[in-house]
Amino acid sequence: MLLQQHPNATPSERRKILVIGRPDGITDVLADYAIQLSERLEADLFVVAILDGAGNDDTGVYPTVDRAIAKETLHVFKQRAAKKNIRCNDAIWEGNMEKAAEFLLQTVKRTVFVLTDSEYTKNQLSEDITIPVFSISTTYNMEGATMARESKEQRKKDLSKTIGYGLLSACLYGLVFWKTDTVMHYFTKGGFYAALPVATVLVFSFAHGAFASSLWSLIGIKPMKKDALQPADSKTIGQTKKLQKRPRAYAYINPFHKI
Amino acid sequence: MDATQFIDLNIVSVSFLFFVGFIGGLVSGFIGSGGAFVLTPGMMSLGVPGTVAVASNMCHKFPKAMVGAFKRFKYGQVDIKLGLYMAASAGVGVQLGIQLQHFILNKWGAVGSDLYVSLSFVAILLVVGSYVLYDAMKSSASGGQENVSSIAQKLQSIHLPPMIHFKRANITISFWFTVPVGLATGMLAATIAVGGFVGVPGMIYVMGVSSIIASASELVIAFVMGLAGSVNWAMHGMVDIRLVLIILGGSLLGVQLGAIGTTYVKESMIKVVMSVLMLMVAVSRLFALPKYLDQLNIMAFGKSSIAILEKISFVFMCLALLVAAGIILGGMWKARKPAMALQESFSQV
Repeated sequence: MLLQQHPNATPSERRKILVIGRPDGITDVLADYAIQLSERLEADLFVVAILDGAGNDDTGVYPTVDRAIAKETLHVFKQRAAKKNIRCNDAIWEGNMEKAAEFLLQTVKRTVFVLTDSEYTKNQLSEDITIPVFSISTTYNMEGATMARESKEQRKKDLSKTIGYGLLSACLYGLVFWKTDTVMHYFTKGGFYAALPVATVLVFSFAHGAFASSLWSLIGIKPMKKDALQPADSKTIGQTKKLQKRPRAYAYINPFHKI
Repeated sequence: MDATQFIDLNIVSVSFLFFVGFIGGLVSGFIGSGGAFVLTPGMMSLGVPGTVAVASNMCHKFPKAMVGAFKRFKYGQVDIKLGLYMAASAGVGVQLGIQLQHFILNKWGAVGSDLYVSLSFVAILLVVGSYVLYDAMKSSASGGQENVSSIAQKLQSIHLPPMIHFKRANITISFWFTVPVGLATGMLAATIAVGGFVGVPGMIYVMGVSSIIASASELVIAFVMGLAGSVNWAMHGMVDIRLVLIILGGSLLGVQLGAIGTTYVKESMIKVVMSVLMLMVAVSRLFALPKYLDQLNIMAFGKSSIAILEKISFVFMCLALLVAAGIILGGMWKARKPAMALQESFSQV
C-alpha cells in the first residue's frame, strides 16, 4: 500500500506533514488535527513557526519575546507529538512567508502537504507552492490564547439552556397528557376551537425546539463552517498542472507545413 | 367527529411515533420534506385512519418546517422570496387537494381514502424518485457537480412577464412557470402531506434552483401551507394533538440535526437521500395496496397473503428509515473525519 512507510526508511526518506503555525501560538485544533492525521497516515511532522512581522517593526528586528513564545509553542507541540510516538522536527523562520515555504519544501524532503491556520497563510502559500495546502479554521484569539475558555462558557450556557428548556418542554407535555381526555374533547371540536391545536404546537415548537437546539450544541454537533477544511484553491492545482506539463518533441516530415 | 377514530396510545406506539418523528425530522431537515413520507403510512400502520394521519401529520409539519427553515436560514440556504412565491400558489393547491380528499372520503369512505393515499404515494414516488436517482448518479459521476437542467435553462430564457428574480437562488424566471410547480406541490401536500417530493424536484429541474437552496426553501413552503392546511383540518376536528406532540418531540430533534447535516455534505447527497427514500417507500406502499383492493372488493386476496404483504410493507418502511438515517448520519460522520477523505486521496496518488 502506498500509504505505508517503508520500515527501513531513513528520517529524510519518511513522508512528512508540514505544519505552519503562528509565532504566538499553534491552536489546539491545528495541533490535534495534525497529530491525529500524522498518526493515521504514518507520516512525520515538521512544525514551523514563522516570524513574518508579528512584532516586527520597520527595523526588521524580531523582538526576543516573540522568538521565546515561538520556541515554547514548538516545544509544547513536540511534546504532544512525542506522547503519540510521532517523530517531529521544528524550526523557527524569521522572515517572509513565501520564502519560508519555498525554502522549507526544498529542504524538508518528502513533504506531502501543508497544514495551517486558514486565516493566516492559506492564500499566500497557495500562490507559492505546488503541493496541497489544507487550512484548518480555528476560532483564534489574537491575544495568544485559544477560545477554550469561551468554549467552556458556551458549554455552560448550552447546559443551562438545555436543562431550562428541557424542563419547560417536559412540563408542557405533562400538562397535555395529564388531562388527555379533556384536551382531546376540546381540541377536536372543530370550528374556532381549531386555534387550540395550532397554538399548542407553536408553543411546543418554541420550547422543545430551543431544547433540541441547545442539546445538539451541548453534545458538540454544530454546523460545519465552509472553510473548516479546504484544499488550497484552484491556483495550486493550476500551478501543479502547469508544472507537470512536459515538453513534447514534434517531428514534421514537411518542414514547410506551417507555411 | 367520531371519537373512535382516535387510537389508544401505549408505550410501543409512543416510542414508534417518536422514533419515526425523529427520522422523519432528520430527513425533512436534510432534504426539505420527507417526514410525512414515512409518518403518514407509519400512523396508518398503527391503525390511524388516513385522514386523521394526514391531518395530524400536517399539524406537526408546519412547526417542524418553521424550526428547520429558521436553522437553514441561519446557514444562508433559504430563499425566502422563492419560498413565499411558491407557497402562494401551493396554498391554492392545498385547497384543491383538500376538496379532492373530502370528495373521495364521502364517495368511497375510509378504505377508499386509504387506497387513494397509497396509490398517490406509489405513483408519484416511483416516477419522481427514479428520475432524481438517475440525476444523482449522473452528478456523482461528474464529481458531485450540479448542472442546471435543459428544461430550466429553456424556461429561464423565455421572457413572459412578470419576470421574477430570486436573489439567493440566483435565478430569473417568469412567474407563470413557478405556478404549476407550486400548485402541484400544494395538491400533493394536501392529499398525502409530502408536497416536497414534487416541490423540490420541481424547483431543481423546472426552475433551475440548486438542490441545497431548493430543499431549504421547501421548508418555507411547508411551513406556510402546513399552517393553512392544519387550520383547515383542525376546523374539521381531525387533528389528534397527542400524536402531533409525540411526533413533534422526535422531529424537532431530527430536523435540527438534518439541517446541521446539510453543512457537512455535498449538494448531490440531498438528491441521493431523496431518491433512495422515495423508491424504498414506494415499494413499501406497493405491498400495502392489495389490502385496500381486497376491502373494496376490487381484487380478492387471502387473509394470510394480506397479512404477509403487510409485514413485508412494514419491513420495507423500517428499512427505508434506517437507510435514510444511515446515509445522512454516515455522510455527516465521514465529513467530520476529513482525515479519512484525505487518506483516500493519498492512497490514489
